[in-house]
Amino acid sequence: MVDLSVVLGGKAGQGVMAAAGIYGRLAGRSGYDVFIRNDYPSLIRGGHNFCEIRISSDVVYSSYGDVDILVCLDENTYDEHVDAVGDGVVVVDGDFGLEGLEVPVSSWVEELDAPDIVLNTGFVGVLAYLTGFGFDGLVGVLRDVYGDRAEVNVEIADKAFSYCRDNFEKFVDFRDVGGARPFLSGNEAVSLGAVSAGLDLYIGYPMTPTTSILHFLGEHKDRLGVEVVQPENEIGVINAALGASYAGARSMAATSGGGFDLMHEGISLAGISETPVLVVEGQRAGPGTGVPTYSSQADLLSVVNAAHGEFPRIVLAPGDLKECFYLAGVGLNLAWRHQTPVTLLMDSLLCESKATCELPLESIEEEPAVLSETDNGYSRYRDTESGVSPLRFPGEEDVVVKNSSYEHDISGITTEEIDMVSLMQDKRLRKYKGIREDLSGELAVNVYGDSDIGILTWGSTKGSVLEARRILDEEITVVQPLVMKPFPKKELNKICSSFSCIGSVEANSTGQLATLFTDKTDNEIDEKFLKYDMRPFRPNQLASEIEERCLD
Amino acid sequence: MSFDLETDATNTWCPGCGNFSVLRGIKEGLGDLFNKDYMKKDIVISAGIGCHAKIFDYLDLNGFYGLHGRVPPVLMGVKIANPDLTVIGFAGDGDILNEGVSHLIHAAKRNLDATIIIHNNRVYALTTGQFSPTSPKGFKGKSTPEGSPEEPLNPLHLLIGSNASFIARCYSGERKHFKETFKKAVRHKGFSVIEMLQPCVAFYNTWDYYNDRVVKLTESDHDPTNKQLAWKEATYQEDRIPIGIFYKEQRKTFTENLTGPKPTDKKQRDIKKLLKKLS
Repeated sequence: MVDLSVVLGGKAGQGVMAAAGIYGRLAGRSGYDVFIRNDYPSLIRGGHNFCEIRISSDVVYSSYGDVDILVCLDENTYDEHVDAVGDGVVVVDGDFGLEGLEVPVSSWVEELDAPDIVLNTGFVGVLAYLTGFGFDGLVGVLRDVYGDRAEVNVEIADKAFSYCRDNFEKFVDFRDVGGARPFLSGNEAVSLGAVSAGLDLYIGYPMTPTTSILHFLGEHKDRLGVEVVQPENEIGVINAALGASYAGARSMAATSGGGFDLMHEGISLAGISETPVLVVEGQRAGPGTGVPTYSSQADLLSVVNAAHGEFPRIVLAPGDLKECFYLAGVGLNLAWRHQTPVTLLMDSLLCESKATCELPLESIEEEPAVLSETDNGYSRYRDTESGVSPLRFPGEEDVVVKNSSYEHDISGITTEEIDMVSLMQDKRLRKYKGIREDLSGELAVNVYGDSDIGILTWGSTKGSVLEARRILDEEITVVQPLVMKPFPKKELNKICSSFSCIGSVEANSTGQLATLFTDKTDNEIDEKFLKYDMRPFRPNQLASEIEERCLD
Repeated sequence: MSFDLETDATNTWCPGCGNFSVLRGIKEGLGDLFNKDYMKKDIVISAGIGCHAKIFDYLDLNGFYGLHGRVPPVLMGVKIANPDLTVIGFAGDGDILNEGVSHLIHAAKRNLDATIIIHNNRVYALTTGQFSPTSPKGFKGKSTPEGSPEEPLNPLHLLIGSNASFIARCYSGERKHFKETFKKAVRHKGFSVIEMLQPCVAFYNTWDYYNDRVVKLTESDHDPTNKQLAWKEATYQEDRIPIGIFYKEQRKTFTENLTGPKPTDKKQRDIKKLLKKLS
């Protein structure tokens, strides 16, 4: 087995993430598992950006904190990370005057009279050589990514390769073993899942960490059959999404905690007007503006309780790329099946990290909406056993379709009648029965392992926990709820009743999943493992803490 | 032929409310349009929250009764989903000039193909009498017993500045004039807004005030393609309040400017090919 951790860093504006992306794709194409975490501050030029790249011939769930190869596009990267490099190597530019494998990349940029940005490709060339990837493979990725602008990149990569061949030994030998896999981010997986479930309109206001959904769908809208619109603010977003759904278009919106706060009134409106909508909430470090570009899992309780009043809601929380794709698709379909708002709760680490993944494309298809068959006397809010009234849309013959934010009668006309208000409230809440049925069993909770030590976790943190599980000598059982609302009490009671110790691992300071779990199930949490320094749990450290507190 | 737009909702406006003539003007105006080239099934209305919004229940039309101030984005969503629909929004002065003012400005800037009626009674009525963004300075409401400390906002000036492509003012006391202006607003391709001067008999009874001052603009004395002139005419003067169409222009609408696949199109979705590109 080959397993490698690389850190590639530089200033914002030097193309650090682009370089890591090229290298990640090269590794993915060559048949390896790749995981990349981006670490960047909230600025455009300067500062310090770096990517943790992990490549393995086995499955990869997260990055580690240690470094086998450090690639420095600037001197600051050396200072920041050199202490984490154990027996590995450090790659530096010949101009830095620092200790390591010195490569004159900046002089090649000058020599070729190339734009400064191609320095990053020079370093990718060095990295590709050092890790055993072939030159032709790298050229293939460069041509695919840069198109017309590839030539100068190919030239500098060529210089890097020849230079390294003449001067250095390879550090590790990843040969091309075939079996290229797509290399994508959580945001991209979510986008594709929603598209598979028939997304017609994506409507978004830029907010880290979900902005790249807007970019990705904007770039590929024709290929994916999605209209993309950026309105004036998040309140405009949610109201426009509801207007579109009302008129028959499947809509999705995405934001982060602050934007989602603004959307609360619209979520409540979706609840009472029974309008389908899927909203992605990518958590970042808060409260307030918080630390915009870093990850956190501190919005859980706010999101499951979002917006005023009582109405059926669904909150889904994926933990890896496959789940991002699948739950986005399921979420959009459920929004339409039950005519109620669905929130997909993500976090920066999940939204923006990139990994190789075979998406379960066949698992999601567009589910047609329940349409009314009667042509005369259509009632938008007809009372039914399931609580779901058949849909019709404006523009169709012989119907008047009235959605309303006021409490209303079956035709959508405002009411204050005691009996009608109760009937409508009962009708809406009755949907929970069907929702629970749809979200039960394996769909609701993932279980990894079979021992009497349970570790509860959710979202992106699952990756670190699964890595920690590998390291531990003793078996632990990882329990990951995928549905946060309605909370899978029955499933969790069944899974957790036999545990002798239950720990919870999450990226917040109060243990929100632990709170929900204790509140909703018959179990207690024995040990909380909390981290709120905005960086992922490091598998080695987590493993030793679990060992210390749950396994003695 | 006549069109019955009645619903079985009980009308709860105060007797003498200026909203009655809006309702009647809308019904008559739509009747005329349905007799020509519009179809009832293609009309979608939306309303904010306030006395104005009760009109939603009194019209047997498709619609989405939205939240306070949020009519423009709801209509935008409807229009993106199905550009063949004709969308009409009802808003109040408090509703769309306070709570929803950003949406109004941006819908105008985008030239969303929608018609918005701003029922301007210059007071918060359903919340029982506070000053609104269009109340005169010194307005004695329940929250400002000594008088409002703010100068009012002129909605038409705001709309001129926001590039609305059809800007008009009407008056509840001139129903036929409203009906005709409303039909032109609906026929206008782009963002058309009518400020409806509408007395509130309970909290700000302006019937006499307007009856003494309202004058109709005619095509012979006003050129609606001249923005500077529109600005000047739209100013409330002490002794003269013009009604009519102040400004109009033709330019591409928001949905015409969108470049992506329409939700109503037959879709080709090529995820597999895209994933190949991402490998």
